[in-house]
Amino acid sequence: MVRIAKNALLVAAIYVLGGCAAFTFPEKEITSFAEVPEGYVLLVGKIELDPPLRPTEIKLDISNDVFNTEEMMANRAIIGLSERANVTVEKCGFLINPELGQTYFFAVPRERAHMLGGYITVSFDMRTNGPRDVIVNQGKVLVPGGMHYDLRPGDDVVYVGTLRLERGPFNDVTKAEVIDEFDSAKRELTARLGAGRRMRNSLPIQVSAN
Amino acid sequence: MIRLLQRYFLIVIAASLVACAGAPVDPNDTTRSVIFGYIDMDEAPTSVDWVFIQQYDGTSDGYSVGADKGLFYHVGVKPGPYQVTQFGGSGFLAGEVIYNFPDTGRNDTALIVEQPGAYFAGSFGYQKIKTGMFEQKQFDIQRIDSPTEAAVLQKVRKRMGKDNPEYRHAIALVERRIAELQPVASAE
Repeated sequence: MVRIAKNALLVAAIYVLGGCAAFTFPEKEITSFAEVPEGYVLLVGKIELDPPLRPTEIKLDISNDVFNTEEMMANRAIIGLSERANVTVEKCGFLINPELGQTYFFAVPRERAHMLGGYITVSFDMRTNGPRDVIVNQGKVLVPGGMHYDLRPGDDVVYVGTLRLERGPFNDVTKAEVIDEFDSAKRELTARLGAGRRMRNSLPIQVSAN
Repeated sequence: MIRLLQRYFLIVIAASLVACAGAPVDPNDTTRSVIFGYIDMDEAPTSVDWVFIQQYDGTSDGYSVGADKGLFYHVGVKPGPYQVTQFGGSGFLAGEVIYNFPDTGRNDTALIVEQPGAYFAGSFGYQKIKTGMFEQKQFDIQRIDSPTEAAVLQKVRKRMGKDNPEYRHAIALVERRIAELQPVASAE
């Protein structure tokens, strides 16, 4: 029985992490400039869902949540960034998971300039049927990708805009647009990380629908 | 033993889905609507015994309904966006099987209930996909033209008269829709 439980837990981990993004843990947001490694740029932006998810719509049923998966999913997006455009989010190897509606601050390798898109988890339900048998149902809003960020050598902080996603009645994205909220993002950057760094405004141009 | 546990587990799932249906619908609640549809499983290794109609506005999970010979309906859903996301059944060799419709975005069964009425989720059929001798079997659930909405509705009306005669509001909605479809049906 213990063996079954252990196996189930392992399979659960594979599904929660592997099923979503091949064992890649999302990056943590930075809290000071000192946390930005050499060769990285501080990416600043926001993802908004319109209308936002109501608390009653978010249904995350994760038993044995040893990886704190619920916190990674609840009201957050999972976004893949890559050096190449022709790679899937699942295999890109670098994820950020910004909280919806909040300005994000992530340290990103300068060469990972392709925003591949991703998803917002609405519901997650996993049932372990046996040591090798797990049923996973995950309801998502798919975040469109196909954007390229202009990350230049010498950039410290780059603002990439607010990606606003209009949500249809079946959690389908009916419209995606990038909005310039540079001034408010700059104020937030100063408030959270302090002044002294130049933030360059570099909105991506191309937004492709799913 | 494992098979027994699996069966037990599936019964638990089925029970939890039924539990999602919530309190019984008040037959006199005139704000409610009927959702109905049909799934042809003639080519499938299982029957269809239940269908889960998911609600998408966060006010409830949705409704689990029984199915008989492919026919399914609910006598009183609240207004809101709905689509079928799962159904299941059993077969002698296949055991209990759960089938999934996509629930990321809109699938072919999507409908929005606004005014009280009878709403058709569609007719669907299990279709085998030809594969090689040593390849894994594959299938698809495709929308089919027959039975038509009018034909499915006639079956629903007959069934409701037998099983749910107290749901006079729901029966009236079905009859109204049959009348609306009659010119179309006779033109066909």
